[in-house]
Amino acid sequence: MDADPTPPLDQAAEARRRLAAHTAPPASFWALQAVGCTLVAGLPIWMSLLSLESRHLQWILVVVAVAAAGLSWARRRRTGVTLPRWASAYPSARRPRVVVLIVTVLGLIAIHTLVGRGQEGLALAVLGPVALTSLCGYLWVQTAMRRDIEDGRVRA
Amino acid sequence: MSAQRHTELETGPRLAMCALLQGAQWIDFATVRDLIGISDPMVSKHSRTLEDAGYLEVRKGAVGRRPKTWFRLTPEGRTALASHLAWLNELRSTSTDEGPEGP
Repeated sequence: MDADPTPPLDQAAEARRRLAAHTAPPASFWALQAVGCTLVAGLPIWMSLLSLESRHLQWILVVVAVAAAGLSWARRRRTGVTLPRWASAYPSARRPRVVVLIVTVLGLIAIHTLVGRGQEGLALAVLGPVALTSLCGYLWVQTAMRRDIEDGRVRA
Repeated sequence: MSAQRHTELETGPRLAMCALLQGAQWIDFATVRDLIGISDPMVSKHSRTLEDAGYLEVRKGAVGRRPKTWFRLTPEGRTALASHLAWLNELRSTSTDEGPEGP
């Protein structure tokens, strides 16, 4: 092939860029994600305030899982694209995912401990930064995933 | 992975189709058509060629009453794409190293 190899490479890069832009979550996704982060991170507070017993926790988690699956289905239907779900598919997103998981778990433990000591007010004050940090973490994960799609690093 | 030319990826929008599918598990027909900017018959024609080459898996189904077609790259397709892109990159770096020809 004597032709210039740049146009086909540019064509491939442009296709990947379009896919990355097309699959970027809309603003409504981030709004729902913010609500979800607040609800999940604040579970110990809500359970204490609403006097829910620990047996109700499994049902709350079922509702959260069903809502997450519904959101994922709606996103697939809207975009016409099924992205790989497992973390190993996006090499750049691995570290952000681990950080988000650690921050969320530590935040949950801190809130749970405060509620256990009867300091619901302080727990509510901690909830905001914890939920915001989780949300920023998800944004970081999405940015890394988008970069992997654009650079052709996704492993399906 | 060896850099190798794959002629099946050189015609029309096949390379763009494969590059698009590289970032996803499945993409539906309409989305491939819209993102690449080609007509329905062109998507059908080139997807059939890629399917015959063993690079593409085609799944047909329906959403409600509407028939739908989804595409995904096979492992062979992924390997061929990566190898073809590596070959193009090698070609580009070779032509860059040689520089422009003198008068």
